Amino acid sequence: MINKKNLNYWRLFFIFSAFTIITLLALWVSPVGKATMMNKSMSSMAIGMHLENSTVYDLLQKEESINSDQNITKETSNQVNEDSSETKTLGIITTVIIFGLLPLILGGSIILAIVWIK
Amino acid sequence: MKNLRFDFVIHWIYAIIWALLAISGFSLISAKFGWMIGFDFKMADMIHRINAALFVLITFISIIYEVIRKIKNDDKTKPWFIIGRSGYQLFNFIVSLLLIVSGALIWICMEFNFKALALALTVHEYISYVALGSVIWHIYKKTHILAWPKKKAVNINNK
Repeated sequence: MINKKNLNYWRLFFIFSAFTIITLLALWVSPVGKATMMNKSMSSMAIGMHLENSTVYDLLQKEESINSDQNITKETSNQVNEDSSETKTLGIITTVIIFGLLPLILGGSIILAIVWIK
Repeated sequence: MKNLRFDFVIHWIYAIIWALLAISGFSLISAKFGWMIGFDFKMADMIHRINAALFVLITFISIIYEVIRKIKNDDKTKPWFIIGRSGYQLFNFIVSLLLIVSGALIWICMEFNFKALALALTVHEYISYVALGSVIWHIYKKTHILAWPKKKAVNINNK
């Protein structure tokens, strides 16, 4: 029996389920861009490629030699970055916001932690 | 409109940004989730970056607001606020900080340290799963609040 209090949750649940099913059906009917590396997540791939047999010391070292595959990746990403100046401007703005506010967020969090514990 | 509360507004702006981050982020995690954004990974990446900046901005505003409240000795409870000293507000605050820090590490390490990048990606991904589960639970527990208040019937005879 559905609790009346949670009726809105189940309404949302069915609405979003319907959206998901419609999207999947639409993609099934017209599969535009099927990806090939489907079964691995980004982190599991990155762990397999870079993190196996690494120590904490390795994490803090700047990598001196980047192999050819990674060079290709960098070149490709540079090309993508140069594709549009709008993307580049957007990248600069978002980077400035994130790295400008990050120390303030960490500082503020420490202050709040101290105040809340007291 | 004049009764609109700051914590209520911040809550819903945060919810919209969070939803956009979740959709773009989970579609970036793995190709098998790419259907969420029609396999347009470039667009997903851009949406995620823009909303990440907005997420950082709104977290910063919330922290400043909370610090100012403490300075003014304002101890009123803010049930809609996104951060707080206990319960789901505290959990959300910690998860947000972890996502911001691991996200910033991904941003930096992309250029020079692939080992740290792999670690940051893993932390970011698994915390996202925890955050998603917690948000579903949060919606389950709180959706009854979404019921629109019914207007009281006006008794014409009393006029």
